[in-house]
Amino acid sequence: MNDDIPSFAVVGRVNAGKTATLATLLEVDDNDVLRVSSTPGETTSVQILPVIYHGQEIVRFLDTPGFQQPVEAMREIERLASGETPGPPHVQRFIDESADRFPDEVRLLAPIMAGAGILYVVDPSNPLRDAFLAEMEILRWTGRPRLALLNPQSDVPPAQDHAWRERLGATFNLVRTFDAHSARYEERRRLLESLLQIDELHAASIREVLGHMENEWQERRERAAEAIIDCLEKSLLLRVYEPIEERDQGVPSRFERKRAEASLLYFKKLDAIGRECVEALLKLYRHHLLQIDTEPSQHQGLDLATGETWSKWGLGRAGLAATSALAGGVSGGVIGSTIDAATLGHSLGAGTLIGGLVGGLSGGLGAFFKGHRLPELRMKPTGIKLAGGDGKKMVLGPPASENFSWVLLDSMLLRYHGIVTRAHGRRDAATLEANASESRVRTLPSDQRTTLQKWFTSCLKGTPDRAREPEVFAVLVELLE
Amino acid sequence: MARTGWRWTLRDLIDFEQALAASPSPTEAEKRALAAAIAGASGAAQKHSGWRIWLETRRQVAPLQTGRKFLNTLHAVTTGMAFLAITAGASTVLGLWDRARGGINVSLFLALILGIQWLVLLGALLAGILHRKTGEAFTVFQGWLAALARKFSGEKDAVWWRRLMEETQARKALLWLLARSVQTIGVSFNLGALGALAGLIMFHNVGFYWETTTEDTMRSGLERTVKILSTPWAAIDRASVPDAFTIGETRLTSTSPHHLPPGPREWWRFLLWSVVLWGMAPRWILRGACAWQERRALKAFEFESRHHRAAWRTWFGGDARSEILSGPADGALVIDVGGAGFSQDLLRPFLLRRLRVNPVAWERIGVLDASSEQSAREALSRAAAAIVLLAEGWALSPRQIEALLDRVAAVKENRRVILLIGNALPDGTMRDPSPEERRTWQNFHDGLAGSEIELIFHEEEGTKS
Repeated sequence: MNDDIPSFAVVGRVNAGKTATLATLLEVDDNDVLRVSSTPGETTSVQILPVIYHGQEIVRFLDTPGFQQPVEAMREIERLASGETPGPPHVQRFIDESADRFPDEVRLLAPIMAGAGILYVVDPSNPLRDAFLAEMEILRWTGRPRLALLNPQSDVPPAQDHAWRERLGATFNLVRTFDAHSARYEERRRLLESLLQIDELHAASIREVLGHMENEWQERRERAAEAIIDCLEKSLLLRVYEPIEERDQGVPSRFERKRAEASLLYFKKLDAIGRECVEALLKLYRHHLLQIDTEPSQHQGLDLATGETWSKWGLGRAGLAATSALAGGVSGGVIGSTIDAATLGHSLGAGTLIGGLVGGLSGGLGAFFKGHRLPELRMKPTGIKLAGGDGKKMVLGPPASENFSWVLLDSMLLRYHGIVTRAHGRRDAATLEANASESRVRTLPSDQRTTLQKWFTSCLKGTPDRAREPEVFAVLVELLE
Repeated sequence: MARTGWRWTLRDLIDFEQALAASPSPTEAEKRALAAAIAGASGAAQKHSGWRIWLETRRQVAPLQTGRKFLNTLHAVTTGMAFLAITAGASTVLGLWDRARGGINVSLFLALILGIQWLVLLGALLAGILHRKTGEAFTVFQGWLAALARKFSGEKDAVWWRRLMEETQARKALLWLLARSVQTIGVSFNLGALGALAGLIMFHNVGFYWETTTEDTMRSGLERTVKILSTPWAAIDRASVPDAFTIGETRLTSTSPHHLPPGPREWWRFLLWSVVLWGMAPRWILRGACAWQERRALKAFEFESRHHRAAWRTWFGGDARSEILSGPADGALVIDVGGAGFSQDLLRPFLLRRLRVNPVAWERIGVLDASSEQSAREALSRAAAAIVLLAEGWALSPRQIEALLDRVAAVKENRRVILLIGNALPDGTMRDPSPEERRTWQNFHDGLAGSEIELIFHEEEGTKS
């Protein structure tokens, strides 16, 4: 074992969740790389898992096979100690001489005796039996720095939890809880910080990893915000152009059919944009098992076709009216102030006041009455003459509802939440369901809503406000956990 | 430690955008050097100094000429336009000179030389107010200037131009630079007018007059205009303020002489003052204001547009942990000899716990399906650790097994080869072989002299091997 690179061996009983702990800590949800299953003995050999930044390995973790015969192994080490208090030399002798009888114990102890620190994973929902005490004793005899991780796989009775903590506290330098099936970034960071407390010798390396990890997380949030901005911009700019020949214009049924076809095409394209964004987010957060829940033909996922989506996601009616009023008021005020300036102040500021009021009222009332309309697409039979002959071109999209942009943003924020709260230690191929959570945009402060609303409006008009985009980016980065 | 207080110029910005668009991905060494250079700084200051260091590094690699070329070309275009403006100013004044009468109509002079300029200025001011938020107030003239400068510098479709236009402060800085050029041209126009007027006064003894058909209205209007325009110098140079008597005397009537006498002095002094103070000075002041606004915009430039953010992450970020790609090297190819139909799910825990191998591929051999052997050979690449041959206890056929082991030995490389013996139940469970079957297989194995093949008999969980 190379002493320059700090190593930490994750050990414990078979099926204690060692590999799941590492999978969550190192964000590996690929079973070909780290096999996590309920089958005891899934890990057959020591697997080295390096933490590499900029091509340089800074820390490494070791996934080990679980203890299979801890009591017998403990007795064997005691026998080798011949009445003395067992210590590192006797553990080393056990490694050298007992590989045939205790292959798994030897495999897991060998890297520890070569210098690795110990992360002992236990499931406190299991009762504290002698086998665990034997494991703790053996690990204590190695003399290496030790951290115990409680990884509860089901509910733990308080008395049992207390018994575990008391016992582990007596044998280990530090005891922490780390639920491999739900731990998020904060818990992962705290776990790494705990290593600082048990291994001062390698504090610089661990701090380096923590620094990189923090930067990486911040950068991921920024990249996620970029992906969401890109998705919103593309969605709000999306239009479908459908030629309507002259003979179709006078027949309502044909016209409606064309419109329905164009509408379906619009939602398919919208779905593809959303899917592209979610795929980018999944890749960014290294998730391979999560499935995207969209089904373009039924508008699932975003569920734009159901009233529930529009009442549950996006802004509430009052919030929407207030935000639109504020954004409209500011725009009206700008126009009004221009009138004031043009009259060299002779209007005594009336332009600003009236402009603000008119803009605010029209924006607010419009949003209040139309905000929760179901997605009826805006349609402009524009009168653009088709190049190839008679007829016109129908332009379809976006939905007429004022809430459209907010529903889109909400759906992305909720999916993002689903991604960042999913632990990599889980191996069920779950579907990323956005509609399982509550609206996020409704909790936004009004200044952030106004910023977003103005940018949405510019995108819906077809000319995204590039000057405002950095502000939108900053709001989104703040919003993303 | 990052150096603070970098000052960005438009030339730097143009070079920066051009270099950024053309730069390949950074190497790790470059990134490390840049990270060290900006250590200690944060926020906007970090980006300002970071990008400046980056730009200087690029300049050391290869000189960047785009910014200089564009600005020099703009300067040349502005100079050319300034000469044209001087000519235009002088021509306007000469056009106002009525040679037959030997005089200049002062009301026309004020309207054409000063009035039009002020109308344009007020129009531009209004446009500026309307677009103040976005900095998009490019006048047509500024647009032409920019287009000419780009065309002559060979940068007509330059990427840096599109990128600067996307960034508010950069756009503003360019706007104010072009506005400054326009004001320079405006100053030149007034200079031309001033020179022509001075020339006429000195060399042609020009006279001044005004005429009207609405005597009272025009006269009072002219008197008021003269009073307002001469306010700045009235206190220090009374001789340059035409009074009511002078104004009355210089009105052109049917009794006025056919050829006007020179002067009066009040009028030409008034006009010279007017051109200087109401034509040229506002342009100079605006020119200064433009320069100040340009500097402000450059100072407020934050490198926060989308492509800047992406580039920052590329050059100064990229703190991404390398993905762990290699899995445990315990994969095994399991070959069901004779197609007994052992259940993969039921047998997998036994293989993991007892044999310490992970079955990654399951194949059949010795069956009617001719393609199965080929399939088994292909599956070998996924099995890094072992080849497990499943055989039923009763089914030992020495020739078949020997032939099979020979074929396996040819491809096994350093993999373990395990011969696992058990019998299949109808549900696919493997049950233990009988003692007789064990003896038969053991004898067969003993006969394989020098063989590295491990012979394992299936045993129910909990029973001793």
